[in-house]
Amino acid sequence: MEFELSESDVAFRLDVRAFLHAHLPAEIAGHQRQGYQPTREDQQAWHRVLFEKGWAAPEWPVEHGGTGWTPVQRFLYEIEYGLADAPDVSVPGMHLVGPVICRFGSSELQARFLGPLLCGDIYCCQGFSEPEAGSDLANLRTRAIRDGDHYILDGQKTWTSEAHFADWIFCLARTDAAAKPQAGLSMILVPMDAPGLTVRPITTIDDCHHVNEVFFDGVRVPAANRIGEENRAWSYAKFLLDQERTYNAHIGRLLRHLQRIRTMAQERRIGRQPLPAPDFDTRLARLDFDVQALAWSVLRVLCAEGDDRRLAAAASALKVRGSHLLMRVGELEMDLLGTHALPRFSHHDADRGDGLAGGAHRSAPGVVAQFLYSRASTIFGGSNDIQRGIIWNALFRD
Amino acid sequence: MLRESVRRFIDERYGFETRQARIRRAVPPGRDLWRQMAELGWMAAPLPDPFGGLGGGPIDSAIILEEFGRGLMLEPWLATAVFATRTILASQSVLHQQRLLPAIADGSLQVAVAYLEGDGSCPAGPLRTTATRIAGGYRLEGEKAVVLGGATADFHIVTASLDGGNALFVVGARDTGVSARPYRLIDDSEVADLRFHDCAVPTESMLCGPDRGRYALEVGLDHAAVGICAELIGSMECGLEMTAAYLKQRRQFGRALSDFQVMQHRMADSFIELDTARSLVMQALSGLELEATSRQRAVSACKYRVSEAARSVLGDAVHNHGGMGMTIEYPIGHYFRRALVAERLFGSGAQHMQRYLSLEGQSEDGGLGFWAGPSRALCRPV
Repeated sequence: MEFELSESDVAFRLDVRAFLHAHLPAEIAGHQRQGYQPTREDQQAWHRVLFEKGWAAPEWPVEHGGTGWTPVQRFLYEIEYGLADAPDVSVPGMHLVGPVICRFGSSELQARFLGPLLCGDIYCCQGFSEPEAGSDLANLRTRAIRDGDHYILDGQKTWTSEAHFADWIFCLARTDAAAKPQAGLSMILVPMDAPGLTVRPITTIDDCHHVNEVFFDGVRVPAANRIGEENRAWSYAKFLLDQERTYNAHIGRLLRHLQRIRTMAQERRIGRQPLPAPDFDTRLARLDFDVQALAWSVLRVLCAEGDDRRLAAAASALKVRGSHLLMRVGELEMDLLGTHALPRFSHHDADRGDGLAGGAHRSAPGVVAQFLYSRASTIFGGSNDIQRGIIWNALFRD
Repeated sequence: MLRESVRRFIDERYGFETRQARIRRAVPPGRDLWRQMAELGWMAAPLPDPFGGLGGGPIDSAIILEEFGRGLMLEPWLATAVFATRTILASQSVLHQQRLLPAIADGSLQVAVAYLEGDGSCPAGPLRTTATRIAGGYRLEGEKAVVLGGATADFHIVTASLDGGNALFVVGARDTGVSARPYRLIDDSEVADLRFHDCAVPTESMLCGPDRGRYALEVGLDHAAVGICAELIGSMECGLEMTAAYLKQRRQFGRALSDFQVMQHRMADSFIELDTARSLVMQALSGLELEATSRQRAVSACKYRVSEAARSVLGDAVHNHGGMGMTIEYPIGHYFRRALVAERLFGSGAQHMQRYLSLEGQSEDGGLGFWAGPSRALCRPV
């Protein structure tokens, strides 16, 4: 299999760069560069801009609003997107449930949801994990009991990112308690304002609110909100998790981090301040090598055809490496901050500029928050230990 | 197709026992394997068309070398078909290209590159090996060390200082004034230390003048560095396969070692390292076609990181074999020794890191190695 970067690919990349430069508001890019999650308003505004351009869902099938780009183009787009400090569109809606609905949803369900997802009108969150079902997802207990034209949901989800501002949650729920664990699950879309649904925030060690618990107490939803067939959702979940793995290489974010590290180091050099360690340049070069290698691995996975077992192994490898690299770039940034990383900053400090506690550099609040939250990257999206098991099984199990 | 034919050759004619017999000289040394490789078109495969080549390039070399890495091939194919050939091409001497390349392509010549000084160094400043003008040509004086393929080569490409730069000369291995001391490295590959004393060579033996010699050698070194990394990919992959097979059949505590999660995860980590290495070889193959700065960045990133990956993956492979991995009769330790040699050839990891750092800030592409223009890189699926 041959991969070729043609003249038109080079031109495409420059087009993407020019579009982002012209249309991404500087304030949003600046916020992203500092390491803060965009507000829902900013994200929605930016999503609208991409939607107008036809770029809101590049990997969806063309008939549902995708761009029909080649793997190389998708890859180049992701690189330029990251370098421009553009915020991600909503991951659960656009990268996770959207492709599942395209592939497995009824035409009626597609008509109801794909349009609003595509233009950024509705926001989804992912209801998979539960207190008793983390890595062992099949052990989930939330039940969806059929009652005429409805399901009644009872149970609890946890670690639900952005549930506090989502419109919909797509849940894995048990519709057949008698079947084997993987064989009795359905995927159901539930509106967040449904009676009986409660959201409780979880504060993480970055002192931020990203994730939540979501409680279902007799929540009624139309059976028409089920995606695909009853009891078949384990295979949809596997499809969804496969989609997630190239994304979880975080190439765009990693390139942004490398840029930021170089900017921070340059500022220190100009200010005649010492770099944090004599091996700083070597550490940064080693990060370059591993990010470059990861980018090429993403490209190889995107371009691969056939041989599912090796592909599964390579995709899992992307996730493991991406997560480690996020922590390593964060560590280098933290080392550049030194004692400036110590104060317990609040969200208000993000925009304060100068005058921060401890004489801290203005980049400190964002860097620290991002580093602390990046500790989760080895845990979410299928923990790295699960990924290693997938790699072994894919490559070597008979 | 090329890959399958090389793999079949290794399986049928260069199994581990055969290889060991050749090392022990249980089989008399000769060019039998070399001629067979030439007949299969492998010397010609990566050579440009006009010189008897098949018009391929570094990607074809990488495919062949990856398969060689699986089989721990000792024939000096990398030395002749990549290092020497690419140095000759970069010298832009049509005379030598016409004289040497077709003979390399058809298997009748082996050519080595003698560039490390007698103490094993490749100095940035003037070489201690010198070329002095005499009537009709030059007199070469000096010593070269660890010349790959130097034990059996027909010709040596020799670097020597001249007029404040480095020139390259093509010298016959059996010419007057050339003496060789052959020996084996720890991976059993054959090399030679060379001494040039009162070695008179005609004017036309100059492959490359001092204005271009350093550049031509650097191009040859960069191609060879990527080549040996491609070999290491094959070595790592084969090493992992051997380890998995071993773990599945080795039983302790009432079960196969492969049932233990720690072993499975260790193997997964080795695969992850291998995949990183494979991607950097692809980037370097793409980088070989770009201008000097991008090429140097891509090659140095590759050589530094791939040799590190090979040392750890193949070292872990020895560990995962338990005591068996430490025995000389068993193949896996030989893969580890090859990784140790490879780290030191065509620039060590430290030297490549130094070069990479010296290029900091000189390329605008986020360092991804294929921005400068159209390029192609051939890869297996995944």
